[in-house]
Amino acid sequence: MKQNNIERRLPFYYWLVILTCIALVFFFFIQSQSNNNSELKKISSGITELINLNSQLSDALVQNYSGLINHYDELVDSFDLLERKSGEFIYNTKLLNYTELELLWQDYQQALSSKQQSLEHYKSHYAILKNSQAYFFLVSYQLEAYITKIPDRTDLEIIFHFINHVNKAIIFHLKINPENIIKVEQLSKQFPQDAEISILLENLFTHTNIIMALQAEVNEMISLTHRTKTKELLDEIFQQYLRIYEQEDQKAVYYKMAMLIVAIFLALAILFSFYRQNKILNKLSDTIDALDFQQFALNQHAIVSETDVRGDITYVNDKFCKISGYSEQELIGKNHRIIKSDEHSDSIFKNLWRTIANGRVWHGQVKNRAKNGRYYWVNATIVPFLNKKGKPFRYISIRTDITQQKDNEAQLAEKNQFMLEDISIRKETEQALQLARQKAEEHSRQKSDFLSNMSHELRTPMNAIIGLSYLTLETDLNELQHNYIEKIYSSSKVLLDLINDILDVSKIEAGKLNIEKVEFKIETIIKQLFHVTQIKAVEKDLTLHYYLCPAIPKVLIGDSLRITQVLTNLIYNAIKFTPSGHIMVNITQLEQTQSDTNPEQIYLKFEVCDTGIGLSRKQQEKLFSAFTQADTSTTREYGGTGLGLSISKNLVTLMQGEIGVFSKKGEGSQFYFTLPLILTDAKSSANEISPEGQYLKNIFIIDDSKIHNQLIQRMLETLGIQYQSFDRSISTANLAQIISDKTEIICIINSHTLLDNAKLLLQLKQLHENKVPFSLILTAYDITRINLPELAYQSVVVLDDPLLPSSFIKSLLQKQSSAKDELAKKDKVSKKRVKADFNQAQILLVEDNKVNQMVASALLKRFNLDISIANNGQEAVELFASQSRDNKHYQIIFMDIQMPVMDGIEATKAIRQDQVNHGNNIPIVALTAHALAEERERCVSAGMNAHLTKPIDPDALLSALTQYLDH
Amino acid sequence: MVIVQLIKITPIMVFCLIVSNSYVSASTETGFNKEPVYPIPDIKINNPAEVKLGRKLFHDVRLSANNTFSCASCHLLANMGVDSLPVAIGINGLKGVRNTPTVYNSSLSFRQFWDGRVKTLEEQARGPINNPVEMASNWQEVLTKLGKDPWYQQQFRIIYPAGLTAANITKAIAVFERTLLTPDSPFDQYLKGDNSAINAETREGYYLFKSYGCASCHQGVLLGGNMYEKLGVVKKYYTSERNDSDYGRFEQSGINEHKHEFKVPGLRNVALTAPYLHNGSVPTLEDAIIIMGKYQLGRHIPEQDVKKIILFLKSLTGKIKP
Repeated sequence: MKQNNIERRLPFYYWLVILTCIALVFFFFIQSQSNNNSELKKISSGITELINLNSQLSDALVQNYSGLINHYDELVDSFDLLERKSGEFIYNTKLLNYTELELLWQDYQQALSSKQQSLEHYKSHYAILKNSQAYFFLVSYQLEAYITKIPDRTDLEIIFHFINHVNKAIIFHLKINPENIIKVEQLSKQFPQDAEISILLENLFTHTNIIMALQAEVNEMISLTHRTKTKELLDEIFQQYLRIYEQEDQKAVYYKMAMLIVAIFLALAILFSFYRQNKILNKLSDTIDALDFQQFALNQHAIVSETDVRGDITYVNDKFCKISGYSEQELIGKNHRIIKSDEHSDSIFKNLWRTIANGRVWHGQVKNRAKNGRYYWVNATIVPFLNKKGKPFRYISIRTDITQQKDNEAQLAEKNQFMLEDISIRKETEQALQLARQKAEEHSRQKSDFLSNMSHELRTPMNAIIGLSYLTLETDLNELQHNYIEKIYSSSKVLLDLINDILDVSKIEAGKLNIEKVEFKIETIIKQLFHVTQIKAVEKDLTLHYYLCPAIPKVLIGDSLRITQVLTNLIYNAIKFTPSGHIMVNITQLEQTQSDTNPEQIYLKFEVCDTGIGLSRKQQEKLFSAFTQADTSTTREYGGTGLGLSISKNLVTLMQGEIGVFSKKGEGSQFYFTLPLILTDAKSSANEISPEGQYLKNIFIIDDSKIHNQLIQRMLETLGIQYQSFDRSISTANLAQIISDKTEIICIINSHTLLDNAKLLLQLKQLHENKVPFSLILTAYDITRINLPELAYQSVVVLDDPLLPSSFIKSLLQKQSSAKDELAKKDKVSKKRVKADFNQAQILLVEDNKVNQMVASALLKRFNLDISIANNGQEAVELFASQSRDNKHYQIIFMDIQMPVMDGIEATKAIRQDQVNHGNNIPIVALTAHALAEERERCVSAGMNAHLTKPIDPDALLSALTQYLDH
Repeated sequence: MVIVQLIKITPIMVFCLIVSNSYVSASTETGFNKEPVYPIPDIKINNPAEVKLGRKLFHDVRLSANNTFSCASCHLLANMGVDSLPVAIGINGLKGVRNTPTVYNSSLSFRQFWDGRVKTLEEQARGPINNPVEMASNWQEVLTKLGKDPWYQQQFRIIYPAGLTAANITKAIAVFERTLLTPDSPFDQYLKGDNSAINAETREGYYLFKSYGCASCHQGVLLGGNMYEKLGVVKKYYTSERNDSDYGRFEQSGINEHKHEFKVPGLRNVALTAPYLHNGSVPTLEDAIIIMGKYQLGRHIPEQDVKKIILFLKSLTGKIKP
C-alpha cells in the first residue's frame, strides 16, 4: 500500500483547541452579559419606587398626625405596600448576591421593622392622646362653667391658669410643668370627694397625665419614624450597587475583549480548517484522477473484479466480461464461483480464502470457466481491502490471461513427456538451482583465483627445468643421457604449455585477461605460425597451407598475440585430429554489410580446415566449453587438456568476435572465427600491384598440388592478373609449344617433391636456352638445396612458404633476380644463428632468483658475453653507475621486474635518469613472468626497449641480442 | 376678675374649639374623606373556579383529624362567620382561649388573629388545621385524604401548576375568604351620600361614636382592625376579679409594652357577632360600649347615648352574598 503523504485527519488536540475556544466564547459571552442594563434599570426603578413609598409613608404619617386623614388605613396600607415592595424588590433583583449589599439590605430591613414598631406605637398612643386632648377641652369647659357658677372663689383661678397652661402645651406641643399640677392637686383636696368639681378635677388630672405621658411619646415616635434611615440606606444601596455595576461593567468589557480575541482565533482556526479541507479536496481529486488513470491502465491490461467478503461480485471490468463471456449485469451480485472450474482441488480455494481472509495478498494461477464452457487460465492476484480493524471488507482480483502460455506449456509438456509440476515446486527447484549455481560460480571463481596464482608460482621452477635441460643437451652426453634429457626438455615444454593454458583459463574465468589494441602485421602472424606449425605438420606428413587474401591491409590494430594463440590452437588441434591429408588456413576479409558502416573497422574471417576425423553434432555442441574434448575416449587417444577451444572461444569473444565449427563425422572439420579489426591511418597498406605489374599477362602455373594451385590462382584473381594453369602431367614439349611465342613469361612451379621441381626447372631452362623467353621462375620449394648447375638458378625466385601476398607480389615484379643471391643471404643468416659470438660484449643481468640467474647466465655465456649480475634494482643502478665511471659501458641490460629492495621498473627509471652516464641510451630488456600487454606497457613506459617472457626462450634471447648488439 | 379671665382665655378657647372641631365634628357635606370611616369595596372575583375550590375546602371536614370539623364549623357563614360562643370549641369538644372572630371582611384586616400574629389569610388558614384544639390535623394527613378525591385532583391541577399542595389549599381558602365581604350596609349607603339610609338617631349615634373618641381606634374601613391597643388605657381593666392570664400580643412578641395589647377589632356587623371582647366575656353591645367608655376612654357614657351608638353600630350590618 502506498502511504499517502498528507495527514488526512486533523490531530486530536486541534479539535480540543476548537472545543475549548467555543467553550471560552460561551463563557466570556455569559460573563459579559451577566451584568446587563435591565438589571440596573430594575434596581434603579425599584430603589426609586421604594424611596417614593417611603415618602408616601411619611406623607401619610404627616397627614394623619395633622388630622387631614382621620383613620390609619392609609398609613397601614402605605407601610404594607412599602414592606411588600421591598420584599418583591429583593426577590426580583440579585442584590443579595453581593455581600456588602446584603449587609446594607439587612440594615434597611432593620430600619423598616423599627419603623413599623414606631408606627404601631404611634397608632396606639396617638389614638389615646387624641381622645385625652379632646376630652381635656371638654372637661376644662365643664370646669369653667362650674367655677363661674361659684361666686367669690378667686382661689380657683389657679385652675384656669392650669387649663391655660395645658392648652398651650397641647397646642404648641410644649411640656407641661408638673408644679402646676401639684398646685391644682393641692387645691382639689379642699373639695369633698364626691363633689362634682372633684370628679371634674380628677378627670382633668387623669387626661392631663395621659397627655403629659403620651404627647412627648407620640412626638418621639413621629421623629423616630422620620429618623429611620430607610431612604438614606436605599440611596446608599443604590450607590453601592452602581459601584459594583461599574466594576462589573469594566469586567464585562474585558470579557468582551477576551471573547473577541477568542472568536477571532476561532474564526482563523475554522478558516484554516476550510483551507486545509480545500487543499485535501484538491489533492483528493488529483488522487482520484490518478487512480482513474491507473484503473484505466489496469483495465487495459488486466482482468479486474471486485467482490465483497462473501465473494459476491460488486465490480467487473470489460476484460472480465469479455473473457468470461458474461455480461456485467449477469455478474454483478453473483458469487465469484460462477466462473469456477472443476480443475482445482478444494484445498487450493481453502488456502486462497484463508490467505485473503487474514488480510494477506494471494497469488496464483487459476483455471476459470467462461459462460460458453470454454476454459481459460489466469494468473490471479487477490488483494484484500482492509478496514481500520485490519479485517477485509472487499477483495479486488487482478488477473492476467495466461491461457496461451498454459497451452504452450502443455504442448511442451506433451513433447518432453514432462509432467506439469506444481508451479510452486518448480519455482522452488529453480530457486534451489539458482542458489546452487551461484554457489558453484563462486566456488569456480575461487578456484580460478587459486589456479591463477598457482600457475604463476609454477613458472619459476619450470624456468629452471627447461633452461637447464636445454643447456644440458648442448653438453657432451652419451646417447642414453641425451635421450633422457631430451624427453625431460620436451616434457617440460608440454608442461609449460599446459600451465599457460591453465593460466589463461583461470585468467579468463577470473576476468583478469585484457585484450590489447596495438598495430601488427598479419603477415608476421602467419610467418610465426608457419614456423611453429610446419614442423608438426611435416612430422605427421600433412601438408599445411596458408592463404592470406591480398586485399587485406598489411597493418591492422588488434591483439596479435591472442589471434596467434587462437590460430595456433586451432591448427594444433587440426594437426592432432587429422591422421592424413592436409590442413588449410584461410584468412579472408568479410564483405562489409550495410549495417556495419564503421569505416575504420573490417571483419576478418580465419578458417582452419582439415581432413581429419571430424565431429558429430553432439560433440560440436559441447566443444567450446571448458575441460571437454569431443569425448573422453579422444582424451585417451590424443591427450591434451581440453582447454584449448574453451580458451579460444573466450579469447574470440573477448575480442568481440565469433567462433564456430562446421564438421561431419569422418569428413574433416572447418573451424572458423571472425574478428573485427581496426584499420590504421595508412590505407595504402593494402597489397596493390604497381602500374607496371598491370602488364603481367603471361603467367603459367605448373603444379601438382591442386590446393597450392588454387591458392595461387585465388591470389592472382584477387590481384586481377590473368594466368594459365597447367597440370603437372604436361610435357615440356607441349609447354614449350604453348608458351613459345610469349615474350614475357613468369612461370610458377609448385611441387611437393624437390626432385620433380628441379627436373622441371631444368627443362624450363632448356627451353629458355632455346629462345624461350622466360623472365622469371617462381618456385615454392627451396630448390637451392639441390645440387644443380649454376645455370639452373638464373632468373629463379624462390617463394618461401607460406605464400604471402607481399612477397608474392614482390617476386612477381622482380624481373632480375638470382636464386643464388637469395641463397647467399640465407646462408649468412643461418650461419649467424648457429654460431653467435658477440665478442665479450658487456652485459648486466638483474635477477634476484639464484636459479634463474644460473639459467640466464648459462644461456648468455654461449654467445660469448661478459656477464655481470645484480641481485636487485638497487644493485643494478649502483653497478651501472660505477661501471660507467670506469668507462666500461654495459651494452645491454637484462632486467627482471619483480625483485626485492627495488623492482625492475624503478631501477629502469633511475638508470634512464642518469644522464651523466648516458643511461638513456643503453638498451634495457625486461624479463618478466607475465606475458601480458599491460606488463609490457609498464615496461615500455618505464623506458625499456624490449620484453622477454620467462621461461627464457633461447631463440628469442638470441634475436634480442642480435638486434641490440649488432649496432 | 373671672370675666377678665374668661375674656383672656376666649381666643384660646375659640382656637381650641376650631382645632378640636377638626377631630370631632362630622360633616357629611365635606365628603367621607375627612370621615374616619369609608365604605366596604365591592366583591371582586377573578377566578370563579378557584373561589369554588376554596369554598369547598372551607366546608371540607377532611381538613380535621377525625373528619368532623371544617373551617365553617366555627366560622358559620350564615351566622356572620362566627360561632356565637365566648370561646371556640374545637375537635373533641376542646375549648380555645379566645372568641372566634368573624371570617367576613377578614381580608380587610391588617393582621389576623386577636393578637395579629400573622399577616395574611393564607397564613391564618394554616393555623386552625394544625391547632390541636381546633382541627388537630397535619398537612400530610390532609393531602392524603384530599388526594383520594378525584375532583380535588382535577381542580387543583387545572388551577395551579403545582397541583394539590398545602400552600395551594391555604391559597384557595384565602381566595375564597377574600370574597366574604359585606358591602352596602345602611351606614355605607349613608357614607356614599344617601342621607335617608339611616335615621337621625342613628346619625346622632355616629356623632356620639366619634365625639366620645371611639373613632380614634375604631376607624378605617372596618372601624378597627388596623392597629393594636392596650385593654385598659385610662383605667386598669384587669383587676383581681378578672382573668389575667391572656397577655395578648405579649404572648407572641415577649415585649413588656405589648402586655394586654390586642388588635382593635373591626366593628362591621358587630351587632351580629356577640359575645364581645377577645375572650367573649361581654355578652351584649351595651355592656361592651360601657366597658370601652370606662376603661379605654375614661368616660361615662349615659344610657341614651349608648342606645344611639347601638343604633349606629347596627347600621354597620352589611349584606351577605350567598
